[in-house]
Amino acid sequence: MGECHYLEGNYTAQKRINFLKPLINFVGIEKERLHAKWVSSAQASELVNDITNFIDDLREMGPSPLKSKINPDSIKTDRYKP
Amino acid sequence: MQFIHPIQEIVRTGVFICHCGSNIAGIVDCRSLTKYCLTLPGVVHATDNLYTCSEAGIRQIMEAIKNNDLNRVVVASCSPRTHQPLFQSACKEAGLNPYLFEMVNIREQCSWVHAKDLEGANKKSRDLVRMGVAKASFLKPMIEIESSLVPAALVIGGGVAGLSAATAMAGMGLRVFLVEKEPQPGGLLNNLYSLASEYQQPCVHHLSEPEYQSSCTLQHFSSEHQSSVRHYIDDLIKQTETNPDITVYTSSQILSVTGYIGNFEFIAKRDIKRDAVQNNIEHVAVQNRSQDIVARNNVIAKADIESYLKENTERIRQKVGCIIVATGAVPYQPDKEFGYNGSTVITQMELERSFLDNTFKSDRVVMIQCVGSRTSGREYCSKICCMTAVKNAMVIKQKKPDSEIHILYRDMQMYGVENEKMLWDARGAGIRFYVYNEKEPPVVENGVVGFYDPLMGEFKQISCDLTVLSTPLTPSKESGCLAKIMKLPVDHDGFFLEAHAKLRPLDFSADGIFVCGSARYPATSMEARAEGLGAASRAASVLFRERLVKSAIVAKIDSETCVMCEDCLKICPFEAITRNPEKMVCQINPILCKGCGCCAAACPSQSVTLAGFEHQQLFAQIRAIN
Amino acid sequence: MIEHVKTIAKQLLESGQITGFLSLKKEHGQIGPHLFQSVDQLDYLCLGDTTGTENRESSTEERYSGTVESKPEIETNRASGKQENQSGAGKSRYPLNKILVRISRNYPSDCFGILVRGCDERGLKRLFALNQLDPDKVVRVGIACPQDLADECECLEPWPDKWVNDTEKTDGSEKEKIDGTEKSDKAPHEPVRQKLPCESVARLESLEARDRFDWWMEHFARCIKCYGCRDICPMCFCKECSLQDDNLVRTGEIPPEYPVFHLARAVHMAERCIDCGLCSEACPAAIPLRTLYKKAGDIMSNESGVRPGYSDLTPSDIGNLPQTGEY
Repeated sequence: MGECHYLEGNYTAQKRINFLKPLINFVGIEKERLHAKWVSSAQASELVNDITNFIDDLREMGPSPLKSKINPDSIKTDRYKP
Repeated sequence: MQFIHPIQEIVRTGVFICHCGSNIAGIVDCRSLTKYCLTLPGVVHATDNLYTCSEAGIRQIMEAIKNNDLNRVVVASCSPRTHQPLFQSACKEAGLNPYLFEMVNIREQCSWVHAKDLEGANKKSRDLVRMGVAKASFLKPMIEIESSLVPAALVIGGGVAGLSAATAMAGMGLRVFLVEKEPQPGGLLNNLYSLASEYQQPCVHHLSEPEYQSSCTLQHFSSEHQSSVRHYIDDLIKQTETNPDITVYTSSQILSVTGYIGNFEFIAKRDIKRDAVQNNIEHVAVQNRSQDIVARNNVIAKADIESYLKENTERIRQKVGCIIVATGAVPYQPDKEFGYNGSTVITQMELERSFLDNTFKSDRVVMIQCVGSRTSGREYCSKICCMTAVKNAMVIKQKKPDSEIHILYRDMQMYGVENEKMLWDARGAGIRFYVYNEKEPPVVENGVVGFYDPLMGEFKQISCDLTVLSTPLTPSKESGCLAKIMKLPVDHDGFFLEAHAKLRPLDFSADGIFVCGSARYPATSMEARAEGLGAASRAASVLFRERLVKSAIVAKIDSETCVMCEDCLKICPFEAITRNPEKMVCQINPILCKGCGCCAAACPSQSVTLAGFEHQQLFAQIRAIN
Repeated sequence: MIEHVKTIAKQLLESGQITGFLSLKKEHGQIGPHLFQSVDQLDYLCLGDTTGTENRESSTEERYSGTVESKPEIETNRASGKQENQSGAGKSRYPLNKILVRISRNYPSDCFGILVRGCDERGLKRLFALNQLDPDKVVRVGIACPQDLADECECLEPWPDKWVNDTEKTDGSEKEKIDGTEKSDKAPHEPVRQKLPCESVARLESLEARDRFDWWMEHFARCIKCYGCRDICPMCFCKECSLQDDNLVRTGEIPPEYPVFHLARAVHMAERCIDCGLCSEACPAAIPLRTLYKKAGDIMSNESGVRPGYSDLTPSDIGNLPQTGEY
């Protein structure tokens, strides 16, 4: 961290990730689906491990809820009317 | 999938798939990928070749551009990091704007990482090429940014690094301004008696046996060397001061620096009175006077200081193209650590002073290393104190061959062939070395140094008439101020931080500003000189250009939609964005912008676009995934 | 209370300190925003109550003693539900800040007075920090919200820094009247502060992720992409909106593309949302947007220790502010 070509770029990215994780979790998309890690060009094996683990985690979680089709008929329009 | 094409022109994309020998073709089916490309919207030409980067491959691109009237080129091959400039120049040569080129990496990202998954690698390469083609459709021709430059340089700091840089640049015919805060240039070298290099023997391998024998004795150190450091620095100062291309401002401090590479402007203030006063006593009087003023009533004092400053200071304002920061460092002054008292327990700097004054009288000396460094609060190794200690021990040995010298160390930092040799010579000359533990540091009391020797497993006591503490070089306060004025990065120890330790060791991440000498990290005079010369050539590589040309990949703010919320301004790591309250907009200085895109991501109204990575282009690329 | 506000507004207008007083106006039983530019118009000034300005002496006490116990109703965020006799601050709210931004863009040299509730003031502070308004050109006249509205909003601070209340005598010095009373004065009917986390947020968080997803999808599926949430939002001051970028959000789709549309807005709201809840009130599909933005605010305050609008921020200490770009 901090050794970004664009100075503070990776800190900025990290903050964004820190914000997005709980937010997507709140709308029901598992926060584990968003993953960020900083590796340097010298940490090849770390990168490979990390990606492999991430893919394994994703497989375990199954398809994203965003992929599921929403049936328009299931929407209850009356319940939320004021 | 839907692509929207720019209305004004019909996109004619040419795609070139590189086999990279068997690097790509061994995994990815380049033939079918080429066929697939022809089905993509906008693609009128697609071909694959063995090495696109070869002369034949480049020629193929150029011919294809002419024959097929291509207005977009996509190359799917290796990393843009290495080959994008080559392909771009090919486009340029064929009459196509180089920014209408897009590169897709199907080697690292497909054939190499997915070597075990043929189907996946093929699918991914189709996806990536499709994304590249989608983005290429929205690329716009761009012109590189040019700016003029002032062929002059500012050197801040007149130590050995700064003087070396200044003379080197002046020697190349550049105009140089040197700003030194002291009345006299020379820096720390002014206080030194001798340099370690004077005690370093030529490397053993180059000497015949008899020469080696003789070099091992201390006899050849004649008394001449005492003035050699003085001679060395005086020579350097003389070179600087007599050079008509160098203007030296002594007793001066930088007040502000504005501008960007090629066009900096600095303002410095010069204390004329202090500069004129060479006599030390008068000097003190001047300082006292200013202190008196401060001590008086606040309101009056302010006016007084102002008038005092008005009378005695001069403002310097100059334009330069590059800046070299050579502000150096200051030795750490211990505060009663290890019984420091300034008379029987002194620092290495004070020891050198006593050599110079000829007041050195001791016979039994103990030196303690790592005083105030490599401990909590100052964790770095100052790197030069070990050789200073060994060098000074040698000086004492030479002055008084019968003297007893003990050096207590934690680790000896004697890097390099010459230093290692000097250490062995010192051992040969009878200087004793003891290791001590950080957790059980030596105790200095009434001329006796007691410490635990972990090698022998026992407590030792050495009586001595002088204890010398080896203290580290630390960043000066002025460096900290300068870092704030110039918005330069410093590391956690307070030293200036270079852009990249290995790739750009003398550059700052801001263009046109360079660093050398102990300002970056404690350095020997040799290193400082080498870095000074290096920084000079880095600056010269900029200053000898006629015009500065900069990549067109910079961000731009649409002043029609910007509402000056300053989100972009706050996030810009390069201070490239300023506000224009009159028009209620923020503006980007394209010279300072490095094209990182933080502002484009931050802007809630998408008023900021990064050329070459416009929202439209990126969204087209993302949409093409599905 | 309303008389105090009117007096203050009158003094401000008469002294020429302000060009106009932006507040609510009630005419023919209808409430709407209005810029009062002359003193004689002030008769029509109202504080957001839906009934007459008469009988205020009797109604105030009744309301504050009676409604403190009322429970928050999350899914009925609509303000117009209850008809109460009240002369204090009513429940009708308008994005006065947004109107003020519009006005001051056209008349940058004029100074305006504005009626502020807690949320309005938070909004003003953020707008000051974001250079959309000049703090020297705005005079705030604060009012506190009624307890039932505060409960409905789950508002953390349903009062501005300084607000007018009934305990103060109209014949006090001019300055005092303008400043109103410090909230630390423990005014008799200071509304009760809501605790964190808000019930609406906490209730959702107790659900399983998949249920939460379905819950939100049900809501978002009703979206008709009317941009009502954005148009009412006092913090949406951009001249061009990202949500209307054809490349970011696909055109011609209802409900709009999920999650881009709603989450992009939530991200943009992260640093700005001052939790006024007008978006939820305005939404014709009754999507509980406020709950989403409340959560965004919670994350923000966890990450940076700052909740937008809750601490006094001026352009000078903007360096300490979390930035949208960073979140």
